[in-house]
Amino acid sequence: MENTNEMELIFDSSPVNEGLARVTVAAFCTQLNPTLEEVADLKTAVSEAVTNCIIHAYEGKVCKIRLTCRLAEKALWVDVEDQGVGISDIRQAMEPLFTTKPEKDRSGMGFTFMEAFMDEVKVESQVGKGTIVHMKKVIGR
Amino acid sequence: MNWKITDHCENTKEIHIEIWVSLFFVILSVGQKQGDYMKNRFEIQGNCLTVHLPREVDHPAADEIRRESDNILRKNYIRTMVFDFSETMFMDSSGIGMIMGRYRAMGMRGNCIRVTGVSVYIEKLLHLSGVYKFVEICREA
Repeated sequence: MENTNEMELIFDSSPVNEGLARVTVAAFCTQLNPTLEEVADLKTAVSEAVTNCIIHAYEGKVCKIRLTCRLAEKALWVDVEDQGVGISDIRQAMEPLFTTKPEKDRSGMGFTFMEAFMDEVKVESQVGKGTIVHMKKVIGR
Repeated sequence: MNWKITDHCENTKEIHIEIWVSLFFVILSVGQKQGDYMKNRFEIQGNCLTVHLPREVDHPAADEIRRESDNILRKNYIRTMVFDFSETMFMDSSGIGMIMGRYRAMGMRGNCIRVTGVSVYIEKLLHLSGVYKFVEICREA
């Protein structure tokens, strides 16, 4: 495979790092000459995944989040991994407007936005062990 | 076909600038105290509260706006809330949750929430989340 590239970023689950995560992914994907719209979509999806780790997986505790990006041909894969509480019912969690924290003004749109802005979203989770969100986006269609 | 190539190059340049600018803002906001950029965000005229949203409406920014606007709603008689998106380049589901929460706080009346200065991207988010059903989108500034 020609034209491949990889990146890994490990950071604390602090809300200030959300901006860091999405801008890093955006800068990484410029190699594929994305449009402004594609960059905006990517930033929103990454932001959703990282916010989920901070608010739901670690529930405010400071632990590590691992963000991995891989470029191949015209596609970008982004994996966001945490060792938090895990999700017991993934299908329910991915439903629009479903949230476990309505009192904190969470909209329940996180996974919906990820699915809308990325081409593929897969979630693997084990209760008590953690969650991995795999996302793929084709750039420059 | 020539124009297409130049167009693409300019687009890439634009994206590079956009990403470095946002990287700069991330560094700036990490170094800055959260409350600092909240000055002059809120404007009260009669019983209308206008919130000038920051450049990036993500999880930390949405929390701050929620706290501040709840304070104002408690102390003042407010019938309409206007969210001004003219400076906003980025928003995620935290921003959507913040708008939904304000709608609930305002008693879920019709026409109590208005948005101005929305870009194509922000409008896409409002539509995807269904928020546009209770929010009035004003075209003029």
